[in-house]
Amino acid sequence: MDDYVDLRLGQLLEMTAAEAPAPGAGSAAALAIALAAALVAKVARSSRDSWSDGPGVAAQALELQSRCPTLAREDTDAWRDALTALGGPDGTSGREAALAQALARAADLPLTIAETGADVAGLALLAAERGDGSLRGEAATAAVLAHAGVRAATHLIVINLATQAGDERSARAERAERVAASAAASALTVEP
Amino acid sequence: MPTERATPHLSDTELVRRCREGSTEAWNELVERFSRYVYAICGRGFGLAAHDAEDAFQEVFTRVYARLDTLRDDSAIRSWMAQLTRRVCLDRLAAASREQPVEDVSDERLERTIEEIDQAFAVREALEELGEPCQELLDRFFARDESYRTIGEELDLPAGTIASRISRCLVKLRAELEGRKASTPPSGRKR
Amino acid sequence: MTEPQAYDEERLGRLIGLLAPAPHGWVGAAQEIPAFRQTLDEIVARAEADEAFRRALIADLEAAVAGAGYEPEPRVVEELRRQMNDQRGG
Repeated sequence: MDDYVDLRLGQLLEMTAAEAPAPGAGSAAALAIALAAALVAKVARSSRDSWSDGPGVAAQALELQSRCPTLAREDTDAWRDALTALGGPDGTSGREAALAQALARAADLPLTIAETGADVAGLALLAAERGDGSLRGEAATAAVLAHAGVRAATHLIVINLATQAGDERSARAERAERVAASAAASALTVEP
Repeated sequence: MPTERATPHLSDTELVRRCREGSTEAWNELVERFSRYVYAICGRGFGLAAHDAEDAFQEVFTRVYARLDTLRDDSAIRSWMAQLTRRVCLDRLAAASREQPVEDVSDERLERTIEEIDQAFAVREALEELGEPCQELLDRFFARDESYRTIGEELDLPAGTIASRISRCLVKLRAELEGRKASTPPSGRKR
Repeated sequence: MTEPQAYDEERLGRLIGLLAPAPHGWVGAAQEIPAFRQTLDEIVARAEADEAFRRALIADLEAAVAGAGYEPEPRVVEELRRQMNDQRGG
């Protein structure tokens, strides 16, 4: 399968809508965050004359954006591996070990997606506060999209780690969700 | 376990000389100094899969070790290693394509990528001149894909300040590189 | 080489990202090359000088390497096996 970054938008949408389980929720969350990062880069680039940190913020937004298609693709692969492990013969220790490993990876990736989204949401708030006022809508939308991606990814971790109470990854994801939620709420209320 | 750099920063020429004399520290430093460069050429340049890239990486340094005496101009170690790496990667691609078809890397795209990797090496040298915390901040974020939270924890800095710090470090890095460009004659190298 | 473009922040970020660290273990393994080569050279030299040792290597490579006081690391064993196969023309 091609890297997601090489796919046409229509192809990606078609793949997501198909009955096959992946690309699914994790990939969608990652791609929402990629779009958010792209919006942040737009605001930062357009504000270079009035915002001294703008070029640096644009560079960071583009870096975070570039991570997302790979995360989306890896999430697809991790989810496929988990389903394969789930389909193994019941009751064997080999199956249980393979399943535990596959589920762990299926939780690690949404965590990375969530933390990436939190970083994008933080940049979006900076862009809303300091970027060109005419692009405040773009910055606020970026924050909201990033938060949505984080919220979705966090939920996936909770689902995948449902039987492992107290797992540190849940706590980290919830922290990322709080950061993103706060950034989005603030970005939506930035005064002109 | 990879060793920390124990030698003060040596020029490429001095590093090669000490490697030839059998200095273990110098060899460790040479590997450390060029490991990212070789890895980038194997992975980003030639698109080798992980297992092939690892074999190629080890083969490059094996050849460097075995053939260091044949290097005529010690200051040109980097371009010499780039050539070695290309040959090793091409051999690996040829071997892989005998087993199953592999996508061709167009010459033009490859040359552009390797040229960018060379520029990246120059940027990295300038980054080392900036010292801490900029070197760590920029490396962790752009090269190691770390989150602001992880960077903040590792460097004991508030996560909410990392983005602004990174922006300012980029400005400093830019100034460092523009200073180097201004002080280097077109045909020469600063070191 | 073409003249480098101006170094703006975006380009700097992208260039820094091109030089990611090599995966864990690769650097350490490469740093051990001199020690690895020395071990190989010593074993090969002994095999060339000592026919009994050479026969022992052919019969059971790992055991012969261990018996000679060397750690039969996979890398060492693999390279010795490759050299022996090359010598036999196989």
